[in-house]
Amino acid sequence: MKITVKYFGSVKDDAGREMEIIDVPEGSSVSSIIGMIKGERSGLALRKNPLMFALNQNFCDGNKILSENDELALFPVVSGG
Amino acid sequence: MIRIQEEPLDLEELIQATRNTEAGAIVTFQGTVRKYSGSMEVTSLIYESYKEMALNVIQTIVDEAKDKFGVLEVNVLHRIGTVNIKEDSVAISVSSAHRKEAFKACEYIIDSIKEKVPIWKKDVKPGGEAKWRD
Repeated sequence: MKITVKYFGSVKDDAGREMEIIDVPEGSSVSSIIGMIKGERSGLALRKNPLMFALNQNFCDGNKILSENDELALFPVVSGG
Repeated sequence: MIRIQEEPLDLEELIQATRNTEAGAIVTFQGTVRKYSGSMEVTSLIYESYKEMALNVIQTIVDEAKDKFGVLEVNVLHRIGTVNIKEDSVAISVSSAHRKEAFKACEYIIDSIKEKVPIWKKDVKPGGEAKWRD
């Protein structure tokens, strides 16, 4: 199934892209897919600063199971204000 | 009014939107860009947001503030893109029947924005080099 992955802030630089649509196995958890993405993007694997994530624009647990057309966002610790 | 925008923030518009016939106080907070990021000199900051999520998270924070402190109107503006030193990056205006609740709600909102809203910033040095702050 396909999901959209969006990258923001320094994570976008580490990933070398703003977004992509990827194929993931049914039943995949958020954490497992982040692990898969890190395996393909060395900039993210080498990242030392914390990596945060959101699913469909909500913070979620890494154990959450993905569904078709989900939007997963990866980004640094927030620094607004 | 909750807005994330590239244009400079219009405080008069923000405050007018916060006025309420039952309000005895309006507290407005502005976050401004300062010349130093730690010990490093900067000329501006560049803000980026995950806009759809940021708007939702700010709305949740505003709803929480209304519930917790019983304030009347809450309006929030946040800039993205380049914001020069001395300019406002964020502005929050809160009205309430009495001032204490508005002060408390305003502080709660800016603290929550800094902790939870998906917005990031880059420091721009005098030479033009820009570095993410994370």
